[in-house]
Amino acid sequence: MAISAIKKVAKKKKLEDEYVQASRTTTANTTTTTAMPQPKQKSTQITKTKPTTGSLSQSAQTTAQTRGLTFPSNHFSSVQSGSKSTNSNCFGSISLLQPFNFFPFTSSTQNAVLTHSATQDSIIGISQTTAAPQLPSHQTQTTRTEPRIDIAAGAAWSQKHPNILSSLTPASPMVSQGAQGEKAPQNTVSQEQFDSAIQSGNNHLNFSYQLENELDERYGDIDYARYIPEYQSLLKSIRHEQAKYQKQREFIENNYRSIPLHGFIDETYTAADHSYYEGQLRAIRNEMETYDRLCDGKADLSILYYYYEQIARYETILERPVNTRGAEYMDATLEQVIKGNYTDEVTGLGTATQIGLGLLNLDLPADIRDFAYDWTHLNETPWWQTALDTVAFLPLIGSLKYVDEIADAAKHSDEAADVLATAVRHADDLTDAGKATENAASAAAQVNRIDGAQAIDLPQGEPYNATRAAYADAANANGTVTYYRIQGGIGNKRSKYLISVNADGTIHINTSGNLNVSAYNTDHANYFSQKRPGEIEIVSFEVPRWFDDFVRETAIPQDGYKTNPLNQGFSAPKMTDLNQPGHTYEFPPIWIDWLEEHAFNATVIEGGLP
Amino acid sequence: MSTKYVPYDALDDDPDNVVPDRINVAIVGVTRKGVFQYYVLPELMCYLDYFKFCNPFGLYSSPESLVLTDVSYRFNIYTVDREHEDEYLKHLEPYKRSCKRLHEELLMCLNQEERLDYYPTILMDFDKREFVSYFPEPKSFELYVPDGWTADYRPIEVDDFPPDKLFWVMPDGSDLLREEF
Repeated sequence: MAISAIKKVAKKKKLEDEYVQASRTTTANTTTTTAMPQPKQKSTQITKTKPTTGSLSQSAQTTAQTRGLTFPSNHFSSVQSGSKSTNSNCFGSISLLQPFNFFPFTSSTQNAVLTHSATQDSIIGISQTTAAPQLPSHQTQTTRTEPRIDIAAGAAWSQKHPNILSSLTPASPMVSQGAQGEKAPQNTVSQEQFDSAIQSGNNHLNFSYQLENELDERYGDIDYARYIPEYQSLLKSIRHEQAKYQKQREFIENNYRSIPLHGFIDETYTAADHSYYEGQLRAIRNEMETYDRLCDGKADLSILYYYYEQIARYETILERPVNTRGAEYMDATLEQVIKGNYTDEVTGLGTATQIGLGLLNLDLPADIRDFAYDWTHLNETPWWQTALDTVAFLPLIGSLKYVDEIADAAKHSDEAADVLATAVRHADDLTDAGKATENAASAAAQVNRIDGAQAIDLPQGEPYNATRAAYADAANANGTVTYYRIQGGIGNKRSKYLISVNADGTIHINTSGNLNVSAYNTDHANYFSQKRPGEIEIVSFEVPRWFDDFVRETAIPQDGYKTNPLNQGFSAPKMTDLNQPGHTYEFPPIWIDWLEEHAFNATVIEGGLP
Repeated sequence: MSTKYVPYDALDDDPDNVVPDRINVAIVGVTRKGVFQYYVLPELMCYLDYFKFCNPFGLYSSPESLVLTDVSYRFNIYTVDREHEDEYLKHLEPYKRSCKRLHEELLMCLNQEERLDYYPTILMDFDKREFVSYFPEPKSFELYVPDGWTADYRPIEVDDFPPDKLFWVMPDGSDLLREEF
């Protein structure tokens, strides 16, 4: 069984668990509902129940605009349209049963409660209660006869988002989806519960799909509802994880793969931050679009408000100018040294440089420059500055002419402090860079040392003679051995793109399973690439000779691999495709990490092998 | 030992949990007595003549010479010739997959790369004694077939399958394995 089998089985188990949980919720809701039948739909359109009344109020838009949030106009139009149909490939009806379920939430710490009465179909306001609010029982909740969205918030949330209260009006469809003519429960949640519920994706969407006749005939009773909602949920969680760990991944890649020394100060961090926030923005936009599409214009306003708030937050962050304070400081310093009195930018480092040049008596051009400036700008220059610049041609006295810059630089001392703080903050990265350089040097020394050693004897026997003969010519003048990987191919029949080449010539291997490569020369790569014409990709990379020695020392034939006592606990490389031209190895997973660590000079060979 | 470092060969090979991966496990379409059936087979079960595979340089004259080779996981069958076909396919019963199950597993894939693992890469026709492979890794299954078989390495197209066995086609005609899905 492959490793992917474990992952897929685990994934399947997880999906099944989620499905069972979702089914219980669905069953609990549908068994007690009477006014919401689920007739079998033969059409491929998604039909939704219309909102009971009204549309999103104008005050909601106004409120959002005054808060600087960007509400897309098409959303409001879709909300106002009330109901719309969405084409679907193969699914029947989708019904929004309970898109946002906070139950069971227990909170006795919040006194002010935002109450939604479905009977009156409106928000009736904030009420101050002294006793702990009574939570609805599960049975009370499941007696609803219409799909409804519970809008509930605690006092903290109300105070934090006061404007949203004014946007919730009786005419809003967002708050009018409660059961008609039936008393709705009052729900109370705290701010933390509200936020965690939203962020943890607790707004579970229940769907019921009806299969078409054609589907029934071909695949039996496949319930597509078993896959698609969870599939969407999985995608959503994956997007969250990607955005969450993108920043860490950037750091890891910068620290362990390629170390851009020139870009260590601010560019790396700025790019990582930018990438992180871009990922967050993309994820939240995708999530909102998915949620909005699935709700079909009946999205909960509080959820949308959360989305819009997050989008506005990330957009604001991304629009912020890049932190280039350090670069600006050095530019101002250089400008001060070159332009002298002709510039308004004064820094402490620039003034110190000017004084140093004066003490070394190297500032004659600067003296002439400042002298010319003073006498051409008599109205703007103080008399004492003009006098100092006039006598500045004398050594030592010349240094006194920079007293005005010293005064200005003192005003900008905070900039210097910031730059110093930035340098201190990044000092640990520079230390890492130094360690990496040491490691590279020691690795190079190790390569040279092992290169001088004698080659390891190969096993004797006819099958191995060819390998040994090839190995005699395998290592090039640099003491390295070249491996090749043929990947890709025609359309959906392609092989996996397992190796990607990094910009610095290292490789990234994207598999947790085995990896097949051709070795030593292009014989097998040529043979296999001709066997699989099409858009194949040939990746070549080099490994140190000692690494290849290690491979040859431990590789065993694929035949009888499982029972071979030399299989090293199933971690030895396999010699595969034995009677074909050239040589191939199949590396178990642990070798993949070593290959990533030691491979270099990787390239993608364009236009076939030479 | 973390899961990442569990070698493929050390994993439990429960036939019910084997899934295709385009590296060591293939989806095989087998035609036998006019019936087409899918199997998900580990690579060593895709070699119809295992003696040829174990003896690539022709050093041995008979399977008895391969004293170190264990074929217990091939049900002690070296060559799947006429007399061993029924027995071999009987042992492969746990690796059978229905179109419905493959369709369901295909739906559970998260991306196109995972879906492409489900494109059948080997066809065995025991009626016509034809073997076709387009396995994307260098395994050379087509070179190790019993005498009397014709073997080819060529792209396997949709026309090579019975029309009612295209488990990757959705009821509305959309193709889950198409390139730009």
